[in-house]
Amino acid sequence: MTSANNGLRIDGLAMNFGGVFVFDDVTIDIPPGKVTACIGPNGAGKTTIINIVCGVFAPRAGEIFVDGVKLAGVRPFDTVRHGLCRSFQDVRIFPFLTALENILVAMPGQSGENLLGLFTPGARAQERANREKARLLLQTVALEGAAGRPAGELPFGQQKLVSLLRAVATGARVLLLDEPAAGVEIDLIPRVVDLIRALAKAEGRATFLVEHNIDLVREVADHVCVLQGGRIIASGAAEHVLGDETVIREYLGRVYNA
Amino acid sequence: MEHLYYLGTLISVWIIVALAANLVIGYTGMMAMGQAAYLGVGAYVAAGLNVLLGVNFHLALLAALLVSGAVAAATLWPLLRIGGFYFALATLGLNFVFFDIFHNLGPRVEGSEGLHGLKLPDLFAGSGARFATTAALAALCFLACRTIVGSPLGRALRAVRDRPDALAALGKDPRRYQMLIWSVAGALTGLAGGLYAATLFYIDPTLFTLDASILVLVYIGVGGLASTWGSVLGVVLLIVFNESLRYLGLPSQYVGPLQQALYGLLLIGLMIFRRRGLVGEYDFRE
Repeated sequence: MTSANNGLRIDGLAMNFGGVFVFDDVTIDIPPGKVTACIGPNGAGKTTIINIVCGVFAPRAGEIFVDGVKLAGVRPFDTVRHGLCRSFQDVRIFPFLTALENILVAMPGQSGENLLGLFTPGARAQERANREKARLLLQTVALEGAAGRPAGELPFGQQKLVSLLRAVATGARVLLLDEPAAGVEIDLIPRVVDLIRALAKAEGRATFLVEHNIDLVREVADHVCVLQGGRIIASGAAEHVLGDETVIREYLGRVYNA
Repeated sequence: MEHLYYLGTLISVWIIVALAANLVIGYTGMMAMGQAAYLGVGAYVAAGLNVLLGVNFHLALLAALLVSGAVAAATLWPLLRIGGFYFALATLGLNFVFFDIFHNLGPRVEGSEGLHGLKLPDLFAGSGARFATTAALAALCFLACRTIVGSPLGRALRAVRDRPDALAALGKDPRRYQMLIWSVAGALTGLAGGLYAATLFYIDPTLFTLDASILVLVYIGVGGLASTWGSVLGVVLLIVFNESLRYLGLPSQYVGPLQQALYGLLLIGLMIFRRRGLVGEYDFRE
């Protein structure tokens, strides 16, 4: 139907939970190398978009394409195979695993995860290489000091950073980040910003960002769409959308005046 | 000395059962309350093949391991769709189902209400040899379990336990790991069942009831969840503790009830003061 486009395309998505209408005709393009942010009030359905893309819910209508290939009937654990990975608003860290292990467990194709592969020398070499990669990832957010600590004992903001790195470690080309800055201590926000920028700009990943922190959106987003009242009320280049009068009146103004 | 060998053999058997249970409960977070079923399958397969069909006991042990692993996989399949409390309840049901199977085969199949007369090869013939062989197998299982829990597989198991939905979001199906480790644990428990039959010389369905499953929970609860050493420690301490009561010189009619009461008190105390058990690395609190 659509031409082969790179990244993620959400096309005409419509959703309701039973009789409760959520949204209609949501179309968003999330190209590689760019950060596409979705803002909107609580309950607008932003996280629901991520849940639909990842196969948690089935939409009423609409289609999803990754690199031009239609996704159909995906289950949550299939998404990474299709090049997608999501993070959670409420972190969902593995609390009894160390920060390093949280990242390691996300890496694909580990022969040490099979009963027979586990005893091969190849598995050991791969594990060593993976550990090194995980350590480097922690370094990018200056958390190498936390590598050996159980993730459940880390401050919330650090857990959130680890959970983002976990998604990165899957190697997914498309990242869906659900409020990566929510609840993060103010002094850690710059690290979240730098990380998201690096993912899109340096690594060329298509990054979809659901976020309430408008300052963060201003800093990292290339494109912004505003979901409100069950539809996209504005969409386009970040500076254009965030300066749009309707958007300010309908959404941003309300936030700042609250 | 004979009795010490017997105790050592018994401890080795239960160490294997506890190691296996800890793989699924402590490391993977699957509340397995029916391990006695797989112990029984292993015991009946090994003893049945050996006594009724004259199969060499070594081969019978191998068969016990494989059949129990397969039975574990087959019984987990329908349970995988249910979670948490209901999963625990369902595994509890395994005890009754398998007890009834062992029990009701009785009138139809020779030997299922009670099997004895195992023909044991040299490695299991004398009590000393039996102890040495069983202890060596327990040590092997211990090493295998340590290798598993220290590997990327072990890491994934702990991730399944902590947040299965998050692991799925990272592209890994939690059920794959649950199926794998449940089968491995079932196989090890089946091996222990075969060894148990050799230790006791006689098996009947009453050995494989809920009581045995609960005992396994107590062993790993005391020793500690998600700890291989905890599995060993719990079994050694409790069996030795139980035995030592015999030497207190109490009238025999008091020993049994006293054991039960002290076991109960120990468990309650542990749950209040030290939920991780002696050397556990995980508790269900969160």
